[in-house]
Amino acid sequence: MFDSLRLELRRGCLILAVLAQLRDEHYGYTLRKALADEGLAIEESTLYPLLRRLETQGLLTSEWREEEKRNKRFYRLSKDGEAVLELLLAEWNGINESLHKILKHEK
Amino acid sequence: MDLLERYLQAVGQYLPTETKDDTIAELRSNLMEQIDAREEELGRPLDFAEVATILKEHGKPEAVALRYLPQRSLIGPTVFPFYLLTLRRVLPIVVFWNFVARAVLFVVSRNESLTDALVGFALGIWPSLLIAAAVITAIFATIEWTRQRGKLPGNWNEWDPAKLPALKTHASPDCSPRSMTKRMIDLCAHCLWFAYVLWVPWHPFWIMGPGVFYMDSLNVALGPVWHTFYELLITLLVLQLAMKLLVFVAAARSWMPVMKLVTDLLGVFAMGLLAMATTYFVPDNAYADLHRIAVVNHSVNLAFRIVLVIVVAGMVKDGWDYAKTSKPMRQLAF
Repeated sequence: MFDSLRLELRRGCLILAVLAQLRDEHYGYTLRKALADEGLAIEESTLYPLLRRLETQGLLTSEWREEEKRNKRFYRLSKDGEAVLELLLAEWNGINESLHKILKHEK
Repeated sequence: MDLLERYLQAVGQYLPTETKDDTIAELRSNLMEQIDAREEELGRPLDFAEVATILKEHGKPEAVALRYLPQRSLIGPTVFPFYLLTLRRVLPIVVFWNFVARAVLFVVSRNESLTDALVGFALGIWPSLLIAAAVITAIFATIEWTRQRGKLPGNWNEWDPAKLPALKTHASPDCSPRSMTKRMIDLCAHCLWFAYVLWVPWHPFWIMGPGVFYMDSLNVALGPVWHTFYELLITLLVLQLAMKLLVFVAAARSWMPVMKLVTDLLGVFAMGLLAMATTYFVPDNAYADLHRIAVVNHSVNLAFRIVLVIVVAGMVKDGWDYAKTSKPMRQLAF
């Protein structure tokens, strides 16, 4: 029960976090590490397909490039992605503010 | 790295051809990064078991591949409630028409016993239900497919509040106990009916009217089936009398559904007994018209078969009404 609710709660937040993190260019592995360093660990099997989906939706762009003698796929927020991220952040801030007000009564 | 390539090959089996190479290349790159980082941490190359642990954590090949596929559903969340509603409306209708068809067959066929008819109905209903469910699923899958491609006009959430059904002002009779007067009238009526049933075997005119004289002219007597039926009827009436008395005891009202089911079953059994019998009237003496008796027996049998079907249908309806309010069925509601 808790696990499924937690998963539901995290799903939207993860998209927001990934989009925000990809304002700077990353490839899959470093993106995952960067998110984990910020305290938001994501499984590889969740993150990598999510990157593909966001790219298909036009929110990310990607390119293959060689780095440290290895071909890597680098992702970055697209123009559309930037606009969507701004809207999502506004929404997130609104929700966050409301939740703080609601939860304040419980303290 | 042989294990990594085997893993990627296993994932690739489930990926679509057009994106397979690209996805595998990206997966390889990310997994090799992870392996490199681990090797750097340990200061030595990873052994087979350590690579296996990393791959195991990454996920089962089929599951990993499935996450790369576009999200698909046969019937999506917008259409699904309408699909469920249609199933809930149509499947009972399928059951009803199957029952009607079976009942007609049972009435017209003199060779089929009640048990055969019931078993035939219980077994024969499943293919019809499966076909109906499959057709409805196919229709809704098509609607979903069309809707997702934007080829279906109209908004599924469009509705008019003014068209909502009027508010029910009277509580359902099943929800509130009947008034004391009604219960008393019901009990008195039942006692009168019981007394009549006990009295009538010695006064057949009060059940058959002038038909008694016709029976006398036929020189017939009642068959043995009536004696068995009469005993069952008395048992049934005693049970019903107990029920009529129990409604005055609030604590005993919870037994009522069970008592009702028992009396319903007994009623069906009694009617089944009559419907299965073929001889209701037997010659009383040597002057009896055997042909006419056979015709009467046949007609009475046909009538009882029809009544049996009605009684069984009533019981099925009662069962359905009861099941509809049961917890598992309510959980299906949305």
